[in-house]
Amino acid sequence: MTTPTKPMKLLSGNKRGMDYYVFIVSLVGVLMLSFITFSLFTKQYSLSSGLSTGTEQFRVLKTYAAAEKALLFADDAARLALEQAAYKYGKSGFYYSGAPCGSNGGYNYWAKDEILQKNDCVPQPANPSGCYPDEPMMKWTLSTFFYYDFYKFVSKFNSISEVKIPFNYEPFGVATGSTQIIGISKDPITISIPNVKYEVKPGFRESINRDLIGDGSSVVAVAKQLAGKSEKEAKKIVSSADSSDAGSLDWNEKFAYSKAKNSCLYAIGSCTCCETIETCEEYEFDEEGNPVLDDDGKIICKKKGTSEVPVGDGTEYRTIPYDSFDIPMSVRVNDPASGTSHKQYLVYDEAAKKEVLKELEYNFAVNWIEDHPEDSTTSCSCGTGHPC
Amino acid sequence: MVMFRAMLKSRKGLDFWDIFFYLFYFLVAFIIIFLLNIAGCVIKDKEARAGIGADVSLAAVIRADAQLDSYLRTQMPGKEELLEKMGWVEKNKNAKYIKGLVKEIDFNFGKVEDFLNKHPEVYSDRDYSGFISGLHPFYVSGSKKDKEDSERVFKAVTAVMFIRAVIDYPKKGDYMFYLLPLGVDFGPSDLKPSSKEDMCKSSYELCAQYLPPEVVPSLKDPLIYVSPVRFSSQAIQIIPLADATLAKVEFRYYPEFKSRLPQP
Repeated sequence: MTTPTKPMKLLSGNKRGMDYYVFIVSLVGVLMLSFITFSLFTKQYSLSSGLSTGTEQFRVLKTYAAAEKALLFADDAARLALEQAAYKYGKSGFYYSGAPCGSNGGYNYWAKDEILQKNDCVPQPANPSGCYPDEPMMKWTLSTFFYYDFYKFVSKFNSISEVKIPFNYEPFGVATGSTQIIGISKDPITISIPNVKYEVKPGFRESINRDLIGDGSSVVAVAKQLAGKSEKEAKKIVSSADSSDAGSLDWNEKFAYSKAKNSCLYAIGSCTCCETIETCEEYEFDEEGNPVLDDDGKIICKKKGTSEVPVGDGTEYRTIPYDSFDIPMSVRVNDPASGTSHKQYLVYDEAAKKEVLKELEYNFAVNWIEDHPEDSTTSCSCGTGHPC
Repeated sequence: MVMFRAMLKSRKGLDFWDIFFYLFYFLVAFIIIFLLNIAGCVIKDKEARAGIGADVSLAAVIRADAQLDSYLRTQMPGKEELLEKMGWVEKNKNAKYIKGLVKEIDFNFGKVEDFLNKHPEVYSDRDYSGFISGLHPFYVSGSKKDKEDSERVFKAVTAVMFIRAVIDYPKKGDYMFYLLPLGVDFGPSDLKPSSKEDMCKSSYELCAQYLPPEVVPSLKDPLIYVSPVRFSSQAIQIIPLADATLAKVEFRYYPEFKSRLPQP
């Protein structure tokens, strides 16, 4: 049995102490209950505050509805942006900022030869590593076009809406099959009102029913067969790739094959240059055999002639004629249900400044050069005078 | 009694002050517990009624928001299904509770079918929101025919997709059809809902509605809110257009619609 402490002895052993003990317990109890009551009453809205039942809950639901509007807009914008990006992707020949082999008339070259003086007029590929786009390039091009188009829509929404869609996404992913673009937002849409903070990330997954990357690979595979072929052979290759089935690629309608003659010249050495000067073939003499002089004291020339005199070296050039072949192609997608029988998307035409329906086209060009050294000629180029 | 006196007289028993403090303590505890259990017992009748009631109009606005969202996310049916639905309306266009709707939406099956055949890109593989943005280039093309076509097609497609029916009215097996108002404003200057009751006449470029006069009497250009009555709840949504402008879509929900129906 424990020994009571001194204060406890005073309280419990003494009659007067017992009086105080009970008083203290009562007082502490009353204070504690009062504190609990006060806390409880200040945590709730009183009924006289005028707020009806469920007001707070409705405010939360309204917040959710406001966020849903922004999410719906993001989904719609992603869909529109994907369609516009699909059109630009095909139009640009799967290159966002121009093909390494250059372009001509709006068609990016996937194969291009060059024939240069510095290379002794031997035809060579303009880009030794080639310019046929591969699948990573196609995906990057599509996602880059998408990025800028999607940003335009989101900016417009944010300029007019109180709820803002943050534009801070992980790099957009492109899934193949039915082309799908996936947006994973790093930042959430945040809606803050008194006592409520709601956050939701505006991610999306939008698709169009066309395998753009697969189409690209098919087009590239056929394009690789075209370079170096005669017109007849090229047409045959294109015809075998062509189909009129719904959803297949239409190769034939915009087939063009052009051939341009040109020549290249390069220096092969030096040559002698001459100048034509005037000479006198016959001077005038008098009856005594003396030369007749003019007023200046010069012998009068009875018969003039010309003579070639060397004046130095020039450069000898060899000229090689060549043919430059171009096949610009515009491959479309068959869609019998469409008004034009080809797949179309609604896009914004920057030049016309309006929305128009445009056919999805995969545009590219291949170029190669065939030189004819057997028909080459040589010539001498003189800075002063002419070739002797 | 003897024991009680003994307690009072004994040094270790209870005295008067002990009993007083105990009584006081339990009295206070009792009062507090009593107060906690009957919170609100001192408020006025009017305050109690307001507190127990719920804000129905707020609930209706939330319902309108949710319904508009679901409309806009509805996948467009294919051409065959759309034309089949329109064919049904065409077939029944003279039926008692359809002809008012047909007249209101200026339904012309041939012209609508022609447009849908020529322009599948407007609805193919799209949701309803995409359909609206697909109509925009026709509406703003500058051609009067294109504009009229887009208005007509909007009304017809909206009607066949979202028309509702009250069954067993006025007699068993019969239907009363109605179409809650849906309006589109291209390039809006603000996002405020229309202040007019009849938004199709006053506010919107593309608009479709059919509210049978038996249920919603046609009033002459009333405001949406005439104190203390609000006729309908409004929801607004913004959708993007291909030229990076916006369209405002407004939807009206009538919470008391069915209750207004005259009983058979």
